Amino acid sequence: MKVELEDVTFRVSSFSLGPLDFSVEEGTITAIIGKNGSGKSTTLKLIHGDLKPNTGSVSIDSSKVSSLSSAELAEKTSFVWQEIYNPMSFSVRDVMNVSGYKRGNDEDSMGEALESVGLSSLIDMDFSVLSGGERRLVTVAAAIYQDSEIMIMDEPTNFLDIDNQIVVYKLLKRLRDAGKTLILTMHDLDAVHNLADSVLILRGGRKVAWGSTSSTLNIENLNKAFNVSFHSYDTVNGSAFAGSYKG
Amino acid sequence: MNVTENERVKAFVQRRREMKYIWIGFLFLLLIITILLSDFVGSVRIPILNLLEIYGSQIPFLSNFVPHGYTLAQEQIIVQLREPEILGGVVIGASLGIGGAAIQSIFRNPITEPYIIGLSSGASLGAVSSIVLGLTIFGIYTQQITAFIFGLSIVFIVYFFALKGGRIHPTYLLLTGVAVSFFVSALVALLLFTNINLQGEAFFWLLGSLENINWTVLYPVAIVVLITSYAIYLQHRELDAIQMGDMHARSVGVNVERTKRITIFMVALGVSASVSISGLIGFVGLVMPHLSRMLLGGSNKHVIPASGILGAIFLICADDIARGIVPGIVVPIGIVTGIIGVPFLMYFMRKLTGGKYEG
Repeated sequence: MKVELEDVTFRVSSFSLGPLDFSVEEGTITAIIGKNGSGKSTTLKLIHGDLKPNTGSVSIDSSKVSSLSSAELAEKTSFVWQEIYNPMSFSVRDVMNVSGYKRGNDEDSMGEALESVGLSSLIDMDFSVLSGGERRLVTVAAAIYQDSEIMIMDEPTNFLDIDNQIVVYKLLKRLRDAGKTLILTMHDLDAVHNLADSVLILRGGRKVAWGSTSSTLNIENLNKAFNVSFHSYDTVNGSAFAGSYKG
Repeated sequence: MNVTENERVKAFVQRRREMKYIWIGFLFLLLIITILLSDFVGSVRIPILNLLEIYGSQIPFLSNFVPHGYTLAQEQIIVQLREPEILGGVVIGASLGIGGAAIQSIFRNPITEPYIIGLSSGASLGAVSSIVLGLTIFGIYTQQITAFIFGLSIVFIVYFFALKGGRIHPTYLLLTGVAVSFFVSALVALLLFTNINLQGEAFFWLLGSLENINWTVLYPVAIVVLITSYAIYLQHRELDAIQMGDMHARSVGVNVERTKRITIFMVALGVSASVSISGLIGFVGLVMPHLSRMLLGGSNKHVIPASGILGAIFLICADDIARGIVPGIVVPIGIVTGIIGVPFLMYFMRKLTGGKYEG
């Protein structure tokens, strides 16, 4: 399923975003990067229809997002939120059951989704007693369990240790290879470099650059987006970025 | 995870799930026992054999084969006084418990209850107005019907004031409910202040009691509570999703505003009907959902029925104490629920939470 944004702008109090004009191809990973407050999460919420653009339109699979019901949207997209409420006395199973609202719950798929993040043994644990990282992994597993074609993730590796970050990166690649379309915000530039097929770079709500990772993720654009002076260096896994503070 | 481990996890999960149904079954059994034992409580002692005969005489077909060794007075006490009062406790306790579970899910807030959306202040205004103004528009049931209409009306006012851009935000609804309740309570206070001779009658209603419930008022209220409780239960999956945030609920496919509308309307209808015949009974709607979550976990699939059963058990027991604690006097049930209920809650919170509400 293809995601298209046409001349999308959004304004709330003194913050304005856009105009954004790009399309995300099916079966790709798109990363949105930029400083805190640059409009990354707002862009995700506009794509998901949680915020209404002031001008322009967002379409999924040629249907305007604003015209989709929540049920139709849930069949096309799943969302990993940056934060979720800690539901009262929910177990991991209860959290997963919520994500199975549309598809209907089945034990095997739920177990597989949790197993993909290595947490199937925690299925009957109280969600509130899990660590921040474990909760994050459960929300990623819940989005997988929802089984939508498009997966939108707001900083999916927040709170995760390096081992679990790698688990999630491998998982994202597997999902892309299985034909899913992934749109995510990330702060780890090396991970973006290794994972993403295309990149949107934002600063202060304005588009700095959009395009394929190889053409967009370069020192010139990164220097424009952050208050950091970047340079690249070679590693055993290819080139990587490092930056030093400009001030 | 290898196959053996997978099988072990599945077996564990199965056991946990079965345990929840066993708990609900146990609570239901406890409710039946509480109902039967409560028929013994009162100033007149009725032997168990006579009590069983009276029960038998009320069952169609069986009544022809049951000996009639009881007196007419005994039959009147059980059938016309104790049974409607106890079953009233079941209906009212269940509606408050179920309403509490649903409202706490919508607000994602464990210290809310059905009264927070303006129900109690609205019903109070209705009841006190009918007393103070001497209304007789609905005959002998004017007080109950005005309490019901005002309770429901104030919830509608709160709901429409809180509606912004077609959506209900929980914090805004909560603040609107509190603000409107304060305003309406001030009107109630004004009515009582200007009619000092009627304060006693109104005071008794405001503290709540099951004493005046009879079959005539119980039947319609029971039907309303049965229908609204079932309608709330049908929303249990949607309410679970809303507990994780409105945006999350929407992203998994829940029509959030429709769910809130249905739930608030059903809670308002059921609880307004209940308090119209009992007066204000606090504590049940706040606490029973917590006890249910401590026993059965957080999913509304179990919390809603368990809160209803626990609310019913608690209210019948509170009424037994209200009837039995001072011979010849029925203490208002609001006093009993506060004095007995709060220490009971504090004890269970320490024993059963196990860190669930921390962090």
